[in-house]
Amino acid sequence: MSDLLSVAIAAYHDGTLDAEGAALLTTALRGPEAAAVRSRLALDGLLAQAFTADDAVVRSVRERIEGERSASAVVRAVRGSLAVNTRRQQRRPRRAAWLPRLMTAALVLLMVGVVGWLFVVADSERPLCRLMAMDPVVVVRHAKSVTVTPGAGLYAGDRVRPTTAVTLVWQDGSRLLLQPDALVVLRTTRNDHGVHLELGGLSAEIAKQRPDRAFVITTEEARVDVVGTRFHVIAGAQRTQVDLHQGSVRLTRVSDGRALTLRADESAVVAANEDFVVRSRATPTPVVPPSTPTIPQEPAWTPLFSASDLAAWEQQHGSWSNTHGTVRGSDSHHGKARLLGRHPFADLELNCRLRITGVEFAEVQVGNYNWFVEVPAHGTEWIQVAVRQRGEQLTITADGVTLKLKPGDGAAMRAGPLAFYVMPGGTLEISEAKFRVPLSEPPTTR
Amino acid sequence: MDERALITAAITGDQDAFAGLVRLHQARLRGLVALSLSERDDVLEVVQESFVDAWRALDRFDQTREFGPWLRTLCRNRTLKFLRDRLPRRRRELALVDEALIAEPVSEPVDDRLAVLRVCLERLDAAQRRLLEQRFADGVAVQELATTLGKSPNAVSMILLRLKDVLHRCMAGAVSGERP
Repeated sequence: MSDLLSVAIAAYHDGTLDAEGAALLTTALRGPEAAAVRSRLALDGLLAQAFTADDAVVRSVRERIEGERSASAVVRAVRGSLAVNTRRQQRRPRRAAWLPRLMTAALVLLMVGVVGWLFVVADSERPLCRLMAMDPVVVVRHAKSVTVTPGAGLYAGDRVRPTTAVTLVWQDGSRLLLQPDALVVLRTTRNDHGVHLELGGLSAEIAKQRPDRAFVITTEEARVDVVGTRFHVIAGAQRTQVDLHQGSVRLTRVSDGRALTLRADESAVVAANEDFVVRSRATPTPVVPPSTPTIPQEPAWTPLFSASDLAAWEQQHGSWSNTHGTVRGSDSHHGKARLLGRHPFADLELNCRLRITGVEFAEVQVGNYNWFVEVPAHGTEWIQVAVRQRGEQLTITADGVTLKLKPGDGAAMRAGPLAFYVMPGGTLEISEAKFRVPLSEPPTTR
Repeated sequence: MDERALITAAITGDQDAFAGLVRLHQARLRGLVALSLSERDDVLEVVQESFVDAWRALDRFDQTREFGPWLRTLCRNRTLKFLRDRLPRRRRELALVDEALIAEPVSEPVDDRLAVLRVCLERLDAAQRRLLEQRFADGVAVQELATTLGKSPNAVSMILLRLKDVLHRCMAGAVSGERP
């Protein structure tokens, strides 16, 4: 295949194909090379699928057909009710010639309304995103409090106010990290989707969005339109602050409709008594006044494990138990033991104590085996371990000594869950484990 | 439960059984749709819609026939519909290519393309796989990858092209009977 054709295929996937490339590609697709071109054209799509988890489809289809079944039940109920009404009408003496026609028209209107309503119901049955958290979170749904377990779906209209940091993950990989006590309402419309941030702070990593369906974060004062980027929003008392790390966003002031485009390392504030201008992040922006009680300046520590179970963790290998927050893992058959979190972290501070017996070391893995350290055993003594991850900077210490980072599956730092791993024949105990997600900016250097 | 039993149970409304069928066929369907659509979410959307179509039409499925080909026919129809529906929103140059794809619908691959690709990916080293994952699954821009790797964007583009060449040859070898 010619280089020109390869370039045209790449341009087609990037959306930058020009007229010459289009002519080349369409001719090739209709010529003798069609099968080879088609196969090459398909490789990008196949690659994207090869790295996509197989259960993604199973989960989404299940949710769709559950929604379908609920909708069908409503249709059956409505039809049943209409049938009863019709029979009653037939038993009544005929009062006027226009009555059946009027009833037919009303019936048609009713059916049209029901079908329209069912479309709305079916759409609202689809979760917008999933909750990634250590513990269940209470969510207000249809004016009722419901407990949402880690991994479960969240729907349009859900009001989420976590007491600890949680992450909301969309199917396209976009994620919002909600600070403790942030209050968001999930929203979706025909043209956009996202959240309304009533109070508190959130960090966003938004995957590339379709041009016709932007990801939008609104507050009382501002609207942030996102195409694909990483940024931080804090909504306080009549004040919204946006700090952008990557990409660009369109920030609109609700009061007068004025808009700014923010680019990487720029900030802006929307507030009555402050200039609505783009600021370089080199120039520090004023922080939300400390008198705002719901936005902690320094996030509180949260226990990494619940008091009694490991519901927020996946026991990939070995046998793991949790006794009053102290977790113990080993494998009686002398196999490896790995405990993988379900909650992804981008920025993280973790303190814990480890006790490693039977082997020389155990591993603390960050970003789902993106990077890891080997923590050396110290007899039967407990070892104090601290993990500090901010942006692309990661430091892990054991008893104050910085450990050598080892690459797991790649060089670039990425967000992902924590994991603990112990070699065959060993036992790993984890106690007093607590974490928090830092609010401050990631350093600009590695 | 084998596929026949899953189909029989799913026809009676058993959602778990239908989920079993989804589990059995989803990879092949994703591979099939990915032959025509490159965006990850577009592929997932079309596959999901195809399964919902199958769920709705399950009572009309002739149980004396194979389930897989029936499902893939629904899926091909959904893919074509997706391509047609997005034509008005596409730039003219891209729409021309889409029209060529619609005019010559993809034929049934002889194998599960996704499974073959995954075998071929295993032959690359971890850093190469990671690079491909970042570019094609995470959608990281070449410019950004270049900054991370300390290389020029052109160099990263060339590495990606070469890796795709390797994979393409590996997959072609699998079709012609060579071991991938």
